[in-house]
Amino acid sequence: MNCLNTEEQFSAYLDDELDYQTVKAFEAHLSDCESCRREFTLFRKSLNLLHQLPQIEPSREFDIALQVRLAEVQVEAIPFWQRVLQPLYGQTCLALSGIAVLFVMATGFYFYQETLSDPQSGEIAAAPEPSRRIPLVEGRQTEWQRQQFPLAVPSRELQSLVNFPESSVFNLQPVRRSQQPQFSAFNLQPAHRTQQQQPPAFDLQPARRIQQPQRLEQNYILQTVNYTEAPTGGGL
Amino acid sequence: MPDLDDELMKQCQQGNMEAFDLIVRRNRVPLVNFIARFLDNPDAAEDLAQETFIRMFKAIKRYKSGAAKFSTWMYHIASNLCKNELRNRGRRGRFFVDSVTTEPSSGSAPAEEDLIATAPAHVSLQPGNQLERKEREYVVQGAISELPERYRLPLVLRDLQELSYEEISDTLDLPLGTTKSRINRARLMLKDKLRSFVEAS
Repeated sequence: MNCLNTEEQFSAYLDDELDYQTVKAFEAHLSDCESCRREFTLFRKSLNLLHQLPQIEPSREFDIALQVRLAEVQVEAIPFWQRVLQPLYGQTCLALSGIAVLFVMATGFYFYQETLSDPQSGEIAAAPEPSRRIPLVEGRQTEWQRQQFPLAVPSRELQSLVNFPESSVFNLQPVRRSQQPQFSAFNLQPAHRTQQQQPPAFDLQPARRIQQPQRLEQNYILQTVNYTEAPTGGGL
Repeated sequence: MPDLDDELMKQCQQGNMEAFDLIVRRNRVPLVNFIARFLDNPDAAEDLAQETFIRMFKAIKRYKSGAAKFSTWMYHIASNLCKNELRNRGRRGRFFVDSVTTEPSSGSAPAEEDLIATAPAHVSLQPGNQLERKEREYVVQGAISELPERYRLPLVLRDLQELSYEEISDTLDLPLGTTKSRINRARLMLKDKLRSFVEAS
């Protein structure tokens, strides 16, 4: 082993990577060569100086700066449209909730109005002019009105107790007359009455017609029956 | 022996981002030291170390456990960043390489400028060990930074980061024999750089 070969084996010898024969030859050359021995000593000391270098501690700002940069990277990883919408997410939810509440309220109010105006519900209170809905004249009644307000027919028991002179009167008299207290006197007149006799033009009080007490009595009984019994007339 | 950093990377791939914080805490000091010693610039070392962690974070999904050691992967990223940094700065290096390679390895007297440079250091060693350590660090770091990049990089990885020859070979994508010869050559250069300082002390 010459000086050049020995110098090439400096690191391998220190790192213990040489085989036994090479180690023996290396050490033999160092013991014989003063120059290589001095160079090897210098080589080992300089390496020791390198190993003695102090450790560099990162600054206090290192962790904070790294966390900030990592957060930026995580934000950049989010798609653009999500980044735009994310700040508005809370407000959007609030606005959508408000819209939903308003929609539910509007829908409810709409159906409530429909219920009031729907004649099928039987709510007569919504009618602004009851006189139009429940005409006293049978010929102007609609099919719905006939179903909802059938002509009351007293039961046989009632008919046995009360002597009705004319059964046809039931066909002409609508029920629930008392629900129209504001009716004018003219509306209270059944159509057939005008055919039987001609009342004076100035007579606006049909209730005072004492010349027909029996007819008034019948009306009173009919009203009682219709408000206490089902429309089919099952008796008192 | 299982690599803890490799296990932590698996945790990161499963969505446990706290594992990455642990990776940072375990590797920030050796990474900053490696870059700082290689570039001889502690301030730039922190920036590049952060950039290394950022790149590792971005590459979590692509990390293949078992394909390479974690330390090899980390130093490979850091080495490339350091090389790019040196290219961007157009730093020194060639001048000192030529001076070292042309200088006789033994039997020559120290250059005059070396004696002048080390003379104040000897005076400053007297007050105490603190100054001595500072001066020694300054001289050794100067000798490292004067090495050419292709010798300096394996030297720092071997003698400061204590990586094995195989790990350095994988990190630098060099054959194992080339890695060993470069490390030995770098140590010989360092010996020549520190000759006057060692002989004087």
